This record gives sequence, C-alpha cells and structure tokens, in this order.
Amino acid sequence: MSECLVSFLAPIREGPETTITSLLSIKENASNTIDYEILIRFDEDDPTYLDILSKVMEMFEGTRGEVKIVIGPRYGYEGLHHYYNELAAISRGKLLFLWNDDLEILPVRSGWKERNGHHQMEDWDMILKEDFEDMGPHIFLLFPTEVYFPSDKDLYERHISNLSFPILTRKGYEAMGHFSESPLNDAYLVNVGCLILEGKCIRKRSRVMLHHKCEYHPNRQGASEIHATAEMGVKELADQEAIRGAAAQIVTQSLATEALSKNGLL
Amino acid sequence: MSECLVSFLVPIREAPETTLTSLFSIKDNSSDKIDYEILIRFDEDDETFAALIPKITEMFEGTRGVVKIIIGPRFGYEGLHHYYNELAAISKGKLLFLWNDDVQILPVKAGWEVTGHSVDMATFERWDEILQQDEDNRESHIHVLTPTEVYWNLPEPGPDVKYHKQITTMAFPILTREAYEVIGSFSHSPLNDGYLLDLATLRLDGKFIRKRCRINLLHQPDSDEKGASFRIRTPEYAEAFHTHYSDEVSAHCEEARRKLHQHWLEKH
Repeated sequence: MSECLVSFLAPIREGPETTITSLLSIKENASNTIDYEILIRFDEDDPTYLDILSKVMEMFEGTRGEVKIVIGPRYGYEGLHHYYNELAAISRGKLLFLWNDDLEILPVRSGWKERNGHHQMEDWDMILKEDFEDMGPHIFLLFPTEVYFPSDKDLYERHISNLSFPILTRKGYEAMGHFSESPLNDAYLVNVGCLILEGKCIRKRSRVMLHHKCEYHPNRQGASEIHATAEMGVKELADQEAIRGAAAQIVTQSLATEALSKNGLL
Repeated sequence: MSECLVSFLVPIREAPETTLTSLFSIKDNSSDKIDYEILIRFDEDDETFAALIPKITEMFEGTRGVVKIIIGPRFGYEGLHHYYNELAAISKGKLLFLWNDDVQILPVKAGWEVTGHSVDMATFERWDEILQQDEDNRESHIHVLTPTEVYWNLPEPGPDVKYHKQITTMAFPILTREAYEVIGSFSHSPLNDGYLLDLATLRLDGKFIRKRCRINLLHQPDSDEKGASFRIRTPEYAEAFHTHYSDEVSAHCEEARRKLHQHWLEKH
C-alpha cells in the first residue's frame, strides 16, 4: 500500500443520515488515485452504529479510502478530544483532518482539459496533495475553506470561514504527542496555530472546500468552560513550544542535507 | 511606489450601483499594505460615468489602490476583449485580474480578536495578502490563476435548473504578466474567460499551466429563477459566442499557446 495522504478523524454519535451524506461526499469527490483513511469512533451505547457500520464499509469498498472503526466508552461532548486522540493514535496519514458528521466536501467545477472542452470537477485529494506539497516547512496546520450556505436549522448566517476544521500535519502531531487537549478541538488548534516562526504563521488556508451545516449543540457551553481554563492555556503554550522544537529540528536537518548535497555526498 | 501586485481590469457600462459595491469589496477586504491597481474602461456614450468617477477616486484616496480610467469608443459585448486589451496595455501589476462589476471579494473569517469584554471581534483574511502568498508560491509553469467563485444566490439543484448553487473556478482568470508579455495580448475573444481557460489547457512538462487560487469571489450574474443568465439570451452574446468558436480566434489561441510553450523551452 502506498503512503496515506490524510486520515479523517470522525467521532460520531447517533447521526446515521448525516454520517452517510458526509462520508459519501468524501468518496464521490476523490480522484481515487491517492490513499486516505476514514477513522470513525462510535460510543458503545449508540444504538445506530451497527447499521451505519456495514453501510460505511460497503461505501468505501474498492476505493482508495480505508475504513477503520473504534467502538468504546462514551466521553460525551465535554470529552470530545478523547475521541480525536484515540483516532489520531491509530492514524497513518501525513495529515490528520478533524472531521464532523455535519460536514461535506464541496464539489468545485473547474475548467476543461482540452480546448473547447467541457468543465471538470476538482478532486479534493489532488488539491489537498498539492497544498501539502507546496505549503512550506514552517506550516504545521492547514485550515480548509468552510462555506456556510444557511438553512432554517443553521446556526450562522451565510459566510466563508477558516476556523473549524484544522488539519494537523503528522510532524505537528508527533511534536505535540496528541491531537488536542480541549473538547473544543478546533479552538485549541487555532490557538496553537497562533505560533509565529521566524515571522511566519504556522497555519495556512487550504483550498479544500467544505460545506458546514452547523446546528446548535446544547453541551457546547460545558465544553467552552473547560476550554477557557488557565490550565488549557498552559497546555497550548507547551504544544507551541513542542512545535517550535520540531521546526528547529527540521531546519537543522535541511541545512545538513544541503551541506551534504553541496559536498556531493548525497 | 513599490511593485504593484495586481491590476484589476474592469470594463463597465451603465452599472453605477454594482460597480461601487464591487470596488468597495476590493478596498474593504485589503490589508492596504500591498500596491494594486483598479483600471476601469467606460464607453464614451455611457451617461453614468461622470457621476461615478469622483465616487471611485474618492473611495481609493489614501489607499494602496491606484485608480486609472480610460474613456473611449463603445465596442459592445461582442467586442469585450478590446476593453480588456486596452486596460492590460496600461497595467503595471505582476498579475492581470479579469474583473466584472457583478463580482465581489468575499470576506473569509480567520480568527477572533479577544476584547476581554465578553464580545470577541471576528478577524478576516485580506485578499491582497492571500494573493501575494499564492503569487510567491506560484510554480514557474503556472501562468493562469483561477480564483474560487461562490454562487450562493442561485437556486437549489432541481429539475429545469440551469445553474444551481455551487462553487466554481472558471469565470475570473488571473493572467501572469510574464504570460501576457510573451503572448502580446490579454484575449482575442469576447468570451475572455473561455479564451483564457482554453489557453490554460496548455501543459508545460506535462503539467497544466493553471491553478486555483485562494481568493474567494461572490459572483451574482443577472439570472432568472432557474439560474439561467439573462445575458446568454441576447443577440450580442450570440455574436460573441460565434466569434469565440471562429477559426480566427482558434488560430490566435493556438498561436498564444505556441508562444508560451516556446518561451518555456527557451527558459528551461
């Protein structure tokens, strides 16, 4: 099996319809030429998972998307980071994508391949691979472009945002030793992503387009309170330091490689 | 004056309100740290330009956006490429951005400014900084950047719906100055977007010369409840369409592709 580009980390609870729609958008908008993983975490007391499980397995059969499922104890919304950390621990992707069931990959119509031809649809995996390959050595987090087309149920007015679905690089994950320490995983990684290295931000917007159908979550308030503690700030700073160390190591390695190359040793 | 990043090429006719909204979105979403140009072409028989010009110059006064205006003979929709070519000829930007009055820069929420008074303020990306990053990061074989267009005012997908709510990357190509200088013109077809997309089917070293850039645009073309554009029902559009698919335009496009390919071979 070739290298895995990205691991989608998807904790799911009682969302059978949204889950299928969400995962189908990943499958249908992929080129199917690049390996990726769908890693799902179900609560053991979720009565819907058995039914979804077989549908998800069937959906990705014969594709480049490998599905892995973890079933375990319930942590609730206030323990959301524990799900992400479990999934990250079994991931193989060069990128770790924070995913929700209320999210879909948005198709993008693009130009043609031959003169006077017909439009093509972009493949999210090709776009993400390009973004990964040319992001620069100081980037540790990519943030996809989120589009909010509102409906009656949606929490927000229509807008474009770039905050809720961070994609952590494996080098960032390995430096930190975990995916997130806060149940507000997006905010945690946005805070870590405020680190500046040599005047440059460690985060960058990716061109992958997402449609987020955001609804109000009643347990968010409790999670917000956990997130807003001073202890969380200390953890974020520690993660920034770990990333700073990893970045220094990358620079040292690349300088060494350059020196070896100049001396004809590579 | 420092180097100019981008020249917006804007032919306008009798569209004062959409023009102001469109240009304001450029001003309002820029960092005002990077130089750019707004190049506008009015028809001499357009009765709205006299009132519009002072509003535009005032809008960009004291900003990094330099405004230049050409007033000249009317070429009509079927001669739309002549307007773009005139504007390109006086442009200075490293990038030449095909622009219309029915398009706006979309703000992108990027974070929060914590006020300490329980209400935090959203912060937004700046299009000029994003475009600068994309330009700095542009590989040497890329000559056409295509912004991301959002069509959220169109109807939901359904029967008889011509164009539905969607994301595309086709209507507002940005040509590099290098390519413009090699080719010698911006476009030879009144369907300028189609012409540049045809040009961008060229591959150099097996790689397409176009790439989607991260600027997000809101495009609101005049259309009916089925998403069908009113423009494409006009005789002017029919003529433009006919011109676009003519042997003459085809030959120009082929020649432009040949020149770019030759230039690439000489450089590499």
